[in-house]
Amino acid sequence: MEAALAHRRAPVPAAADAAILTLTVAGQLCGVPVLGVRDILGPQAITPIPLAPPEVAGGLNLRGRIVTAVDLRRRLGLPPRNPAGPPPMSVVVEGGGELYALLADSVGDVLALPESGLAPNPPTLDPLWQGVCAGVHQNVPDGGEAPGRLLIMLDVERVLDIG
Amino acid sequence: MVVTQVGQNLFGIIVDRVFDTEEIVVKPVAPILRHVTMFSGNTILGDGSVIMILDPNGIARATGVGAEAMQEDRRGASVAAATSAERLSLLLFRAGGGAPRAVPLGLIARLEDLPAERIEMSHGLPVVQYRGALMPLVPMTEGWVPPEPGGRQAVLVFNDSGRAMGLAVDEILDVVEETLKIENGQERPGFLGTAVIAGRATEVVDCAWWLRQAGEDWFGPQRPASTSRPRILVVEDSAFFRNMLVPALGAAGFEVTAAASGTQALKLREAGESFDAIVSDIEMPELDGLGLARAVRDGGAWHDTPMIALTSHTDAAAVARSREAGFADHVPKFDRDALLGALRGCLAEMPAGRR
Repeated sequence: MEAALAHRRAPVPAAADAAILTLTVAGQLCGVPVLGVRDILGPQAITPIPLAPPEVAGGLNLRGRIVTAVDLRRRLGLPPRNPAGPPPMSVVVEGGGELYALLADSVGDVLALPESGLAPNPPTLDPLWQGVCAGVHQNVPDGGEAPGRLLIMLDVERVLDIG
Repeated sequence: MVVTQVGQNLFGIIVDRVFDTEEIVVKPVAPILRHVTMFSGNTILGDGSVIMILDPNGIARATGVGAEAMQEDRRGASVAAATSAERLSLLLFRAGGGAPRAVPLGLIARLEDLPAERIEMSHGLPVVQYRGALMPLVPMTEGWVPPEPGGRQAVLVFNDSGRAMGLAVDEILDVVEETLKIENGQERPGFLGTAVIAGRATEVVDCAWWLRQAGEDWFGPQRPASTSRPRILVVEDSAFFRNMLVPALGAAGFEVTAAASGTQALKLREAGESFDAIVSDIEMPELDGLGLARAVRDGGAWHDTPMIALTSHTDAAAVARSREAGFADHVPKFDRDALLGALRGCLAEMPAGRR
């Protein structure tokens, strides 16, 4: 994982900053705390699991460990991925002693965001999202000239609370 | 179709394709999938892919086959023991003129319908390249000729620790479940006798004899065909193991009677049955194997009948306990070769004349 993240232009986070791994799901910028990320994987062979909740994309083999893949698009109620498009990336996280892979469209930079900048969920946020969001960061720099974007912090524990 | 058994219920699972068998270690599924009771777990195959493992019990429960059958299995303990000459799945086929023939389905590994081109001759005997090895074909009829080019040959494939043998027959007729009651007609090698199956007189095939015709030493030292088959009592509470042991021992040349518990076995003693050897599970409800052994050794008609313990525990203490109770030998539950060896060993020690 170090190798995967080493080239990122992440500044060393200051004490009051939280290191956030950014990822994109159907165009929406989301973030998860880097400390909770166990691995980041490129496209994987995923075995579908019949009768599993629709959010579960299947199982994959991470160096001999079976990891259950959760499709973030389905988990967040977003439109399904275009099957002809680029395959999803897996962000491997831990929940209740088990490993899970969160399937995102792309994985972006690790950002150091001030914890004081974390705003509570806006009341207008979709109720489904209210359940899995741990707050939002506004005006997150996008690396380009574009104006800052809204980043939604995912509460990994609640994202994995399926069924 | 994959045929499975839960309790006493057989049911089929229809699948698209069967690939292969693989030895696996079942790992539990992630907690978010625990509610899917159709899987017993998952695992990683040799090629690195993840597969889900179906749980026949869960499937049976979901389809309503399950729980009831389990109870029935327990209740079945009070019913008289089922001998190998009772209810069985039988494959009916035709070979040569005359009566249809039958063989217990449990002994057959696969049924094949081979194109004539697959049959080759080696040293004047027909062979088939089968799953990466040469399988001898044993014709069931005298004066057998290979099918015409373009024709097909029906074959019953028997399998034993990697070796296969094919019995060439004319036509596969049906699979029936019947109470097999063999009327011993004239002694004819290759046949156990005649039974009425599906309303017709049917010749019941002696598999062990035909397997020996493949020229290989299939089941250890050959017994002269004229010896009467040693009688074995198998005491095992699991229907699964009973179904596995009865045909396996039957094919090895034993006449097998099965009992589902120690209590049932003792009922057979009271009924005046006698056996050349007793093979018993240790862990059983009601009267377990140790209790049965003590009861047998305590006196009565079976007091000198050799007993072999089947168990998953092979540590010294367990062996000592079962010896003390009266078992002559002790074999792991899954080791068929060890069981056959132990049976032959204790039958050979028996005074001549008893058989």
